[in-house]
Amino acid sequence: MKRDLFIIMFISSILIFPMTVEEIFDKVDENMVYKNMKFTARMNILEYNENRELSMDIFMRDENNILIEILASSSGHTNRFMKKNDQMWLYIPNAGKAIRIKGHMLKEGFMGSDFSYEDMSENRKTNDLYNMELLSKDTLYIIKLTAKSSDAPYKMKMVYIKKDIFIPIREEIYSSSERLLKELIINEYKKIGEKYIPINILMYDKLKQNSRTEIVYEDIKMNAGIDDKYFQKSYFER
Amino acid sequence: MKKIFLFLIIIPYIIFALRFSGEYNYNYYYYQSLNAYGENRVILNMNADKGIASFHLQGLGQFYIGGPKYIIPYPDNIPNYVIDNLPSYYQLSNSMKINTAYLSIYYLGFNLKFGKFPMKWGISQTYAPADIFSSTSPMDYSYIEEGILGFLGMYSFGDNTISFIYQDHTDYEQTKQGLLFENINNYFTASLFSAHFFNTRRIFNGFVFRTNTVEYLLSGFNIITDYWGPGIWIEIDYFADVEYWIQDSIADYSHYFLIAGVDYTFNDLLYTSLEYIYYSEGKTDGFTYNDILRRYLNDNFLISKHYLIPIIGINQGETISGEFAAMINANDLSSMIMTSLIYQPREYLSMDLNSSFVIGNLGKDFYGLPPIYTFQLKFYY
Repeated sequence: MKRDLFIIMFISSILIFPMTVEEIFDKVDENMVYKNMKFTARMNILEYNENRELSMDIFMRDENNILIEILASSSGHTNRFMKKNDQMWLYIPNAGKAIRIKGHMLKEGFMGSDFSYEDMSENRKTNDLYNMELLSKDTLYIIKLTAKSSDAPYKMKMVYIKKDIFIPIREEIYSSSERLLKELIINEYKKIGEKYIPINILMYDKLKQNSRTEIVYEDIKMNAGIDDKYFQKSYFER
Repeated sequence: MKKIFLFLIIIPYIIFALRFSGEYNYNYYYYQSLNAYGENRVILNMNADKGIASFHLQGLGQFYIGGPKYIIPYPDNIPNYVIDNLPSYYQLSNSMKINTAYLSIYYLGFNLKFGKFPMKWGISQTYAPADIFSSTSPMDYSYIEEGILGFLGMYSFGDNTISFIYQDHTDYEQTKQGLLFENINNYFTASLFSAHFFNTRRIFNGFVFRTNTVEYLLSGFNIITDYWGPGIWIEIDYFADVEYWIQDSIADYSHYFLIAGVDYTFNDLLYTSLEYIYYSEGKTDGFTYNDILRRYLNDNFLISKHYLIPIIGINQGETISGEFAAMINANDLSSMIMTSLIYQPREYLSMDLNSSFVIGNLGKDFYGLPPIYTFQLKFYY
């Protein structure tokens, strides 16, 4: 009886008080914005039928402190990439000096992949970057995002969100002239603690032919104890 | 030091599982009306990490085709009795060498590097006067970054990092010592630095050439920020002549540089940058052959007071990119223009076409250099 009453109250609350688009994205960001987490990932880059593979560790302390270390790659390069506040740096051991990533470089492919440096390091809340418009809520939430912040990575996005667990399973990324630039597909996700976390992501660069990048998260640690040292110069340039 | 250097190479080779990568370049240099030659360049990188230690090595091989000599384009008005005392060209020969080989150890905020490691100082993108450890001239088109032999100690605390650099040499006057403090915060990155070194220069006094060694203490400060959108940077480098200040010698070779720059990318496509360099000891006009000689003999690239460096770059889908850069003497408006066009159809393949030429008459800062065209085919493996 209590259970039936609870279900009736839950359904009626949804019908009477439907979620706003901002509330939907608050739920999405609970899954997609990370703090104090470490990911071990494998990246497969397929371009012109040639496959390259990278393995990397990603350290996310919060939206302002992100470190990506390439542990191994088909080409032998083991670079490091760091976002510290609004500044981004790339360290190539053979060059021996961190290079500030600026302007157009942010849009360039991360290690030649279909993910840009910006894609790899974006960990801010959606509501801080985009205006939102709910286009459909039938089987999926379909939401149009248009940039409201000048430093939003993209001008426009269409996001397709699973209604039950608030995970975006597909994103279409458009230019200001509404040309399709990229398409992101989340193939697989996993519940870790209270979060649903994507563990297999595909990115297609629609401006390139036969190009696709897959990221597979092989190990995810929450409350990973990511302290200051990961974002200090002596660790970054070691 | 050589034994330690060999030890640093051999031990990591035995202990670590090395990863290899590299680059093959075919370079063709064409100096209009002077000379042309080709170069096969092979770069091999070896890297390894194990716990707190990592090891990096870069080997370089250069193999020339044709008449590999760099003919020095002296100014037309240089007297014969002067030019007779100068080389007319540099002969380039096949070579193989180790560019960098160093061991890096990180522990509890400390990073130590030993061996031959890369080191760059200075904020300027084109010409950094503060880069006393591995200075380069924008006129050297075939320059390849080479590490310095010595050690680097670095310690980070909070957003701050303090570094000490020692560049070793058997001759004390070739050693260099540097200290750098850096802060990276929410708004800007700033550095305070100081260094001690000697600078040996060849000077022509009108009759004979002589060498002059000056002991310098460099003090400097730079700051860079993206806080307002465009990148903005400022640097001040003061070179104090130690002998003049401490031992009260007659001549004072102290001088300073002021650098300020701004860059911005429009529509994620068009990169623009403008940099200004002020050199306290530079001349404003009437450049003689002796001024130009000082540039050739001492890699003392700046001879004028005011320079402007505009750069415009365009990047189309990462496959095609182009850049136009100029170094303009703001006093006499002579300039050196550099262009590059890069086509990178694959991640492992690129083709670069570069050109450089000067605009200016006799008596101007930039004069007499032949147009230079280079073609590079790069294959990364």
